[in-house]
Amino acid sequence: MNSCTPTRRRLSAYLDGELDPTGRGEVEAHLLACERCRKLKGELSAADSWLLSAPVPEPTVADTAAFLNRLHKKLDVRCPQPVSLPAASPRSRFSIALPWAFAGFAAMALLVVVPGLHRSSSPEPRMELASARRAGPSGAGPSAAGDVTGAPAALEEASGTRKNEARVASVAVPSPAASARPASHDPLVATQAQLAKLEEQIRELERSVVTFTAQARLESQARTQEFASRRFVPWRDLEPSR
Amino acid sequence: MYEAAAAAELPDEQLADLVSQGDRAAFDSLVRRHHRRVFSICYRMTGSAQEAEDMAQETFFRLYRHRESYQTGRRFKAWLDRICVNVCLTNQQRVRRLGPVVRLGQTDASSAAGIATSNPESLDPEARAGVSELIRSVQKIVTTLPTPYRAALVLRVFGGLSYQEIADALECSIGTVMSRINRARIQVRNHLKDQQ
Ligand SMILES: [Zn+2]
Repeated sequence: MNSCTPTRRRLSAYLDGELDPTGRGEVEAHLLACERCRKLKGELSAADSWLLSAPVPEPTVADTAAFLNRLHKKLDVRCPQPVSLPAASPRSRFSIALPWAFAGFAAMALLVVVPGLHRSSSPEPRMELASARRAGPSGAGPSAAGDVTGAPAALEEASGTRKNEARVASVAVPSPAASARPASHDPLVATQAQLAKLEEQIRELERSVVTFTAQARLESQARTQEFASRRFVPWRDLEPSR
Repeated sequence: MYEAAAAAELPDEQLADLVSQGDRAAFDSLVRRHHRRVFSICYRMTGSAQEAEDMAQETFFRLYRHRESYQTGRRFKAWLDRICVNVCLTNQQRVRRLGPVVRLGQTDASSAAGIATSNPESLDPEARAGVSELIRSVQKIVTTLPTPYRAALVLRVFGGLSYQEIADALECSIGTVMSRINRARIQVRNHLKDQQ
């Protein structure tokens, strides 16, 4: 019995042609001598034949076309093709990364400038700002804040609202010393979330445009058909008879 | 740029290279070429035509999403089957957790009997019922095999992959593939013996 085990373990590999010449020779030698293993070999082959005898539903060409259509829709929504420069280096990730970097930078600048302009016009946010400043790290010196907010401050000076804005900016863009802040207050994270939301809205709009176009096409087709099926009285019949 | 007609002539591996660069026309050619095969593997793994259709969608979707991970020179079929089997195995886990979406039933097996024969009308009702019964019986035994055994057996018997390719797809050793396939076949053979 024991002598059968090595053969039985390798029977499938033998049937599948996956044994090296030595292994094949050993199995064949045993099969010649052992009727039980020969029988098992036959039964395993029969098992394969039985499995293969059951037909699988075979998609037709039309099925494949419909399948591909469905796949395209899925890809368009979840895997939109990146807008990239003419195929010089299609693998380059810059086509995606660069606009994102620019968008991030632009939004950072907006965050610094826009909330400042808004806040200076209403008293409540200023109180918020004061408490935020009190709660903030005391070690952040004015010079550090000045370095970070240098560029926005220059912009704001031109608009004549520098005093308030400089304070706002010092909160909006914390000094490098305060880098251990919670993620929820990170303007970059907030900006990215906003951008993601905007992107989702754009996608939503794109989808509704597609739906709208499809509906419009269907409606126009229906109208054309309806028009074609009508019986019109020819013009000449409408003319007053002479 | 190349013509879509020319794409149909290219070998899988060249098309896969183009797909990895984001070429959707090359991707379409690969889908057309392998839809049947992927569907058939999914069908054997899930036992349901409807589920197999969804798994096939997910397979090609993942292939496109991870297109850049295709290694030039690698056999495309093995890569595709690896994704396909992983999709089916993930689905299996989900089904085990949440229950099956579609159970193997009369509709699937009988519709399979209809689709699988080029002219279903040529079969008399009795023969048709026989085919349905056979399909149901095969699917029943295949889907009751332990998942790792089933994956290995399906890739070998229905996918025609080598043991090395199956080992790559299932991320295990060739020895493991050998023993899984052998055990799976012995279970099928035992099932047939019980039927007699
Ligand atoms: Zn023996």
